[in-house]
Amino acid sequence: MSPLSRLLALFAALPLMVAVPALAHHGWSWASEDWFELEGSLTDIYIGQPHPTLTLNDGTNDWTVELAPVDRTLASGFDEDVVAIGDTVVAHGHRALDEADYRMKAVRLVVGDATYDVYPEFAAELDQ
Amino acid sequence: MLEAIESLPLAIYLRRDLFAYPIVNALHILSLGMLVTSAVLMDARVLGAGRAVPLDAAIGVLRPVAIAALAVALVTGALLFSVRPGEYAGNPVFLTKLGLIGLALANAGFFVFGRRHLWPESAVTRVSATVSILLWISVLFAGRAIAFFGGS
Repeated sequence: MSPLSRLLALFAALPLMVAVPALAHHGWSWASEDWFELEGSLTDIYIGQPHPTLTLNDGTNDWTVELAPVDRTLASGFDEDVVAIGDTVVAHGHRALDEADYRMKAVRLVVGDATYDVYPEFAAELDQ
Repeated sequence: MLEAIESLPLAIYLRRDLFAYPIVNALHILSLGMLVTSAVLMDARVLGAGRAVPLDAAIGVLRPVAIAALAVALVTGALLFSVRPGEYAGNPVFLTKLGLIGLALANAGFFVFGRRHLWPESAVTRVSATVSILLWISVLFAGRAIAFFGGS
């Protein structure tokens, strides 16, 4: 094989190596299909690009709670000014299939009396 | 320092705007695609591919593309960093990527200097070209891995 053909062969193999982590990052495939509820104290909040996230401490572990994309999270009414560090937040959604990974994808957040559905189309299922 | 970057008006705008961040992100991908491609083509020519094109002509066309792409990649990369500086500065994958960029640039400088003054068209420049291919592709993989590993 010429050096160029060798490079091209390597290039052609790249998508195979990239496909696996790509599945784990976006979408929901990394999370359980079962509903999960987490109650914890807010230790960190980031509402911005590329991914809004919260960190909630359930008394034992720090959980990373992934929200919807920025525009959808803001459309739910949830933002950095509706909650303060130390507040109790209840997140409904789907936890990581790997239970050693303290991470969940939130569909609904409850802070005090306020409810924020960052994925309203899925949150409807919670009210049935 | 990180707090100062985080509170820049441009950083705040990028964090909250629906379109700015994805556009900067796309320009970053475009620039690093051009950078890696032009670097690898020069390296492949040094290693003996495409002998129909004289080496100096190939470098004459591709090096300005690589340098311009590097400049755009550095600016867009700094903008992407500004959105969550604390998060990235503490991410070992991000720091690994910066280290690999430093090595790739040092290798490029070594190649230019060595070819001009010490060992033109030699085993040394061919090793440097091979290292360049490996480093730039590693930079690309490390960059993509930031989104998947090392963060909280």
